[in-house]
Amino acid sequence: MFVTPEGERVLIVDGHTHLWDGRPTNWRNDYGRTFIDTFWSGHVGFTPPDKRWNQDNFRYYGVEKSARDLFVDGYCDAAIMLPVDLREFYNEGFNTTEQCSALKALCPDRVVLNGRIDPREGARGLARLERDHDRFRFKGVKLYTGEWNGNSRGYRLSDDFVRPYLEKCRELGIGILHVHKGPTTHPLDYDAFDVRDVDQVATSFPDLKFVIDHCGMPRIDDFCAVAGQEPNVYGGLALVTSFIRARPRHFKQMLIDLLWGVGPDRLIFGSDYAITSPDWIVEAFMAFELDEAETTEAGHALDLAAKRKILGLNAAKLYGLDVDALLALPPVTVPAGQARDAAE
Amino acid sequence: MTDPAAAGGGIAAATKAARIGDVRARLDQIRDPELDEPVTAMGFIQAIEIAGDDVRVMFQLPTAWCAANFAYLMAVDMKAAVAALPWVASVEIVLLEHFAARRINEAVGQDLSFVAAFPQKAEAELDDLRQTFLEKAFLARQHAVLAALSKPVAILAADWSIADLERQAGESEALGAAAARYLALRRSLPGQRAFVTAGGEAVAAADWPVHLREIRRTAMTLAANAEHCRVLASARTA
Repeated sequence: MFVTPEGERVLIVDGHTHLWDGRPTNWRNDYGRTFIDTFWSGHVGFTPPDKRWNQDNFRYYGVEKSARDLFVDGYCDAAIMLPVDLREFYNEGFNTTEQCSALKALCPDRVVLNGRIDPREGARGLARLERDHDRFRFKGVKLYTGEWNGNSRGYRLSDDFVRPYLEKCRELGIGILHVHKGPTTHPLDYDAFDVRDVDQVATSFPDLKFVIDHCGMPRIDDFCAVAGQEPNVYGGLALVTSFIRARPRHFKQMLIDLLWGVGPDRLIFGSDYAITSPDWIVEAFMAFELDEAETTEAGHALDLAAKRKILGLNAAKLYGLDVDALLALPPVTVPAGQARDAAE
Repeated sequence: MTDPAAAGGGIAAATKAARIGDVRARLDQIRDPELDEPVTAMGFIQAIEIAGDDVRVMFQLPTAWCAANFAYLMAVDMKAAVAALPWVASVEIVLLEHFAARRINEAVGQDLSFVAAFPQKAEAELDDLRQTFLEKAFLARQHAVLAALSKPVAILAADWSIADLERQAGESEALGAAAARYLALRRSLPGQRAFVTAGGEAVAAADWPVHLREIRRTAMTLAANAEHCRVLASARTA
């Protein structure tokens, strides 16, 4: 929870977190190196210099450090975990449901553990989803459309093989689909970041909620067009909010357009932990203001009520989390051995 | 002459420096189509090597996962631009540290089409993609012109002619630069209206506020995307 100088308590739900293993021992090939190195570039580029980690720590930080970064230092009352396998690049997977479940085990009341699906896995994948769901009881699943799988270099939500998976989610009561719109590289000639395929599935499955992680960056304009039309499409702000320090002018422009195009009720804060940590973003976002002309342009005020929604209430509502119960939870204590990592 | 290169039939250092300058000037004209920014200004060019009349350009994108199609377009454009220099005998473009580097480098070296380069993984050539992003660049540049005007003037600018814009552009340096960039793309579309849609159509007065917002959003997306690339690229040297 974040407490304003006036004493207002603000629920914080980090809508986009991971627990990964990007160590060289886990690299299946050189793609394993380049993948985690891209994340590292994001970490260095966006994180304030005095809060940067060292590279080894970034590749693998473990469950206790993540509990500390999120729930002790990071103001978070709850965190949504978004697993992705990436077994083409990592021997044991990069950020699997199994790996993420360690944080759920440590902080069961604060962690929402989502599953992952890859609709290219056919009947085998559907059976796996059922098995995983039996074990973890998912409210949501993550689709990483850019993930490599065999000969495939990614897929689109409008591909025919996706529908059975969405129907299975519906059948199992999994109502939330997180879609990473990132560098889907297949087919290679497509505008790989296109978000318009979301439109089709959101219309076909009006009872499911689609959270578009990173708001379609780098295609926020297309994302706003889609989310403006489809009431079951949400904007996951991971990466967008990371601009707040290094590129505040661009952050403001993106936020104004997202408020105008999507509105404050369907935007969900996410730090993209551990690309960076929520503490400094939450502080900067709480201090961020739009002037009168910008508010007119955005069509919505960025007042305390809007900040509450974006930083926590929207995610709590989407996931059916009990706000009062979260705010009343005892503080997380982590063994003292893992002191906060100093900047290197 | 004691320059070993010259003695070996190569070129003098001064000539070499001039030629590197020639190549760089050509590369200044090549834009990342997704960002509408020059590849040189984005810091993508890692090295320019000259051996006699042969040129090699090494470039690297901010991440190994940048889209292969845009990388391919840039490589093809760079090759054509450098090859057009009168003294150039051959050009090799080398993309570094990228998931599709080997295939892109081979294919551009052999002047293959994109589909021929990626027969299993590409379904069409990149002409449509290029056109889509040319249209986005056009709208973003239009936004830059209108943003350089004061708000009341921008609202009135809906029915300006190209001549009106050129007249106004002489008034201020900032507007002049934005207008020059915009008109460079505007002139390939028909009509005399200064501000038109990407399809070249006039915008009805009633639609003008919506149009202003749309082009603002397009410009914001392009600019934020370019900033993201700069942030990631800067981390490489941090």
